[in-house]
Amino acid sequence: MRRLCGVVLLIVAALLLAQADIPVKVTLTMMVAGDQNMVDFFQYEIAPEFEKLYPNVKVKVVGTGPGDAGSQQIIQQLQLEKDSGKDKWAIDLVVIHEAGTIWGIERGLIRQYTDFLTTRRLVTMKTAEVALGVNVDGYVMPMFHSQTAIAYNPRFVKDPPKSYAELVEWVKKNPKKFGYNGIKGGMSGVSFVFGWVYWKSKNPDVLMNGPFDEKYMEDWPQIYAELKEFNKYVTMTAGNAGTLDALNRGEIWMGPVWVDMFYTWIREGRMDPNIRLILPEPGMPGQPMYFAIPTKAANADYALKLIEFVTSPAVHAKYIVDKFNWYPAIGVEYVSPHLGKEVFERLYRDIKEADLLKFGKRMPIADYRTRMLEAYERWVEK
Amino acid sequence: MSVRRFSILKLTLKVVLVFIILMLVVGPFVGIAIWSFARVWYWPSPIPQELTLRYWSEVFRQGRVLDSLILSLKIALLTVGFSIAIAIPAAYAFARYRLPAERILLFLFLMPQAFPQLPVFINLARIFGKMGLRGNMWGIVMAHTMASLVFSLWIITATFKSIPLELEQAAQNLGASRWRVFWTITFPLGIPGVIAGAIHVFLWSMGEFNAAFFIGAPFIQTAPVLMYTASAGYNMQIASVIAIVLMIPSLLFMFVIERFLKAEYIAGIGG
Amino acid sequence: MKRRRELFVGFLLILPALIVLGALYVYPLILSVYTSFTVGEKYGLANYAKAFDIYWRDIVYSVLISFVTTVVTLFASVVVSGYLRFRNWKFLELMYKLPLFIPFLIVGHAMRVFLAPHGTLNNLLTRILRIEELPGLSRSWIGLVWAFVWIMTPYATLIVLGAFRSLDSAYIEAAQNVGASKWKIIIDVLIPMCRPSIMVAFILTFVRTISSLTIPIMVGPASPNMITVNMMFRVNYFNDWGTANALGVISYLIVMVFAIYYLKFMAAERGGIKA
Repeated sequence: MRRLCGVVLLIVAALLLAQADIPVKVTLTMMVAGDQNMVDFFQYEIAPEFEKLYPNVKVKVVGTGPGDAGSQQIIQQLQLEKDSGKDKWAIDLVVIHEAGTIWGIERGLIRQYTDFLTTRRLVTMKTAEVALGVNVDGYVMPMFHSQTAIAYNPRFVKDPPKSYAELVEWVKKNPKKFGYNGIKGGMSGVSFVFGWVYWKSKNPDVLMNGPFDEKYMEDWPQIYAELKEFNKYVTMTAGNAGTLDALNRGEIWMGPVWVDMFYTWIREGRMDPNIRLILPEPGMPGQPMYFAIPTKAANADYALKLIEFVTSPAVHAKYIVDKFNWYPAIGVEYVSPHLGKEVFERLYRDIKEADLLKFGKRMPIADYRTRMLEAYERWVEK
Repeated sequence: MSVRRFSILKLTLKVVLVFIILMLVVGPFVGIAIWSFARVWYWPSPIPQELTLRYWSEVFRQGRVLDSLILSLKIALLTVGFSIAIAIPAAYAFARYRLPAERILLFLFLMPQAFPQLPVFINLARIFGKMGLRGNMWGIVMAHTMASLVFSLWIITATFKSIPLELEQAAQNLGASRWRVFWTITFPLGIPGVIAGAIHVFLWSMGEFNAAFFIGAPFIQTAPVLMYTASAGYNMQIASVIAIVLMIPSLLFMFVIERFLKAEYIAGIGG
Repeated sequence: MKRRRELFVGFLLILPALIVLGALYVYPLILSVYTSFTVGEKYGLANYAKAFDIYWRDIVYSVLISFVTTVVTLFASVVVSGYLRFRNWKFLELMYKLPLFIPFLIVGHAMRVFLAPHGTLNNLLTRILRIEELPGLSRSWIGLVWAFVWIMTPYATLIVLGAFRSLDSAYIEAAQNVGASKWKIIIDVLIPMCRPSIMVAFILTFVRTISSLTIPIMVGPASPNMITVNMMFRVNYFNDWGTANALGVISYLIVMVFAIYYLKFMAAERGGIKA
């Protein structure tokens, strides 16, 4: 009897051991805010590589679109999961904007996880700790940093304006040849508006770093009135991609774009390769995209592995910097050994690193940010 | 002499008129046809600098485009099945049972097509969200079945009504049951109407955006939804390729079902 | 007794269709009205106040765009129908039917490419007319109306031409005998005698235009927007179902005015179904 028991135990143990070696099939579902290039990045580049590394994992990428609307969709879905009271949520990983991260933390939809992330210590930017003036330390790992700039077509613009002030003069001479997308359909237009307010405001640093006080908003009506006047001379495009398309089609000669999208479009042949970039004085904001893990993600372990994978220096260099033209989220010293000189030359061709340090601004803190967007709706669009 | 000059003038006028009509009606498709083959196309070149078949090959290759087309096809075929299956008995009842308030009842089914449907789909998506049917193919099939009932129901009702009652009565007098009469006489005679109805439903479902977007996206993307995202991202080539693929059945079937056309129910097509 | 049994069977036969319609149409429809009156846990008109406050301009704009579209569409369809009533031209017959079944979304995309400042149309026109630049029509109200008219005209023509053709030739011959020109016949004979059908075309065009989402989103200007686009923004950007549904109910009311007329008219015309 005892021997039989022993044999059975042995078999069970053997089975369990064998089981441990065959990992369960997992579908890793991730929701990604941002333009199509973000979705392509995960679906066509990262997912195949990651699935090679972990053959039991299938990565499912769901794109939710650019701008705050894309982040809003993610938050709505996570809220639905939370309201359903389920123990395991269907979304394992999200890639989200700064604003979305803050909504997620406020509502308890994302969790702290970066203590378990080995690549977290490679991050040198402050964006891993603070987003829009809110402490997000522990909740997020930046995926990349990106910057907005003004693209111009040298065929028509021989001497591009080097500052917002010169731009205002330029549009008066070339009406309807500058285009941006307002504040809907993507962040490139939003960035342009924020840059405008920084330029005109007496306290741009307060807007970026706080503290929040309504007294710093006193000069806003005048600032937006001037923007409304400026808008009379510009073309309204349809979103981030709309500005790029209008540039490519020669319909506008200048417009604010995301640097990464701009270079990716050139690589794909969708953008006239003669078009150049300039970062005007006193600067325009950039932003990171964040990896975050939902509070009750069913496959948080694999989500963590995927984040590690994308932010590990070799992969980061090859895909984030080289292929997709984003600025790295981890320190440049960690990625540069994996990159050729020509990659950096391309990345910093038009906008030098020094320009980036001087004119690459931060987004305004959350309280000002919301009010700036509302002010635009109220005073400029109406 | 003057007669001939007049006819030359008339001919020129006619050529110009044909050109203008072609430009107005066919022109919009020339643009997307060119885009679907373009690799590099920037101003001021009137035609693309480089051409490619890459985007067309995505229609036949495993990937986003093919997936969305297959999904749309599946949804459309399931919708046709459900819509016809529900419509046939109802159409027979409307044609043969002298139901009270027949016109009002029939009009009810037109409501999803002749009344703003967007708010209904938005709220349906919300209901489905609570039931876990969002991002699910069956959610879209259900919405499509509901909204396309009018096409199958109205066309089949009209067809059944056009079948002479005497034929059925003759069979009934010979002792056939109503069930038997339906399957041996009414239904076979009504098949053209059933097919026309099915084609209507199919075309509508293949091109439907509102329900597919609010119920399916972003989790599953039917061909129109993918076309919308591609076009919104100015991914002109992908959007144009899908647009052309989706247009083919519309143009083909138009000639098949032209004689069944009736304004009220085509009104819904495309919406 | 037999009649009652018959009614019962007939009712059973249409029951599945009614259930589908009730659960998937009537229920969400009622829910949309209900939601439009709820703010949080309370009932009230706050959503309507907000909708009118932010979007009153867009509501007016939607009605105007739909109205202009309808008028232009009717004009175009009367011209085409009038021509085809007197002359047989296969080419025109084919051309007016071509867009009939093409989904709105595809029309939107095609028009956005066609009407862009450097789109297909301007590319062609600038070369024929030898002009440097022409203004782009996409993302303006003209482009929006253009796209709507393009897709609406075929089926308006279908209705109007059907009516023109079913009219007894005797009337036309009588007018021709008194020496009336074709234009005069169209205006004085055909249009007045086919007024009911033209009314149907009018209502259906108007309703379809004002409830369309895809065309304004693809070709319409960034602002002002049609109310359907605002509904989508409210839901997707702000997760604000109350205002979205209030806008929905407003669109119901606008359409209702026409729907009632249509119903009355259909009742007079002996139902919508003719064998």
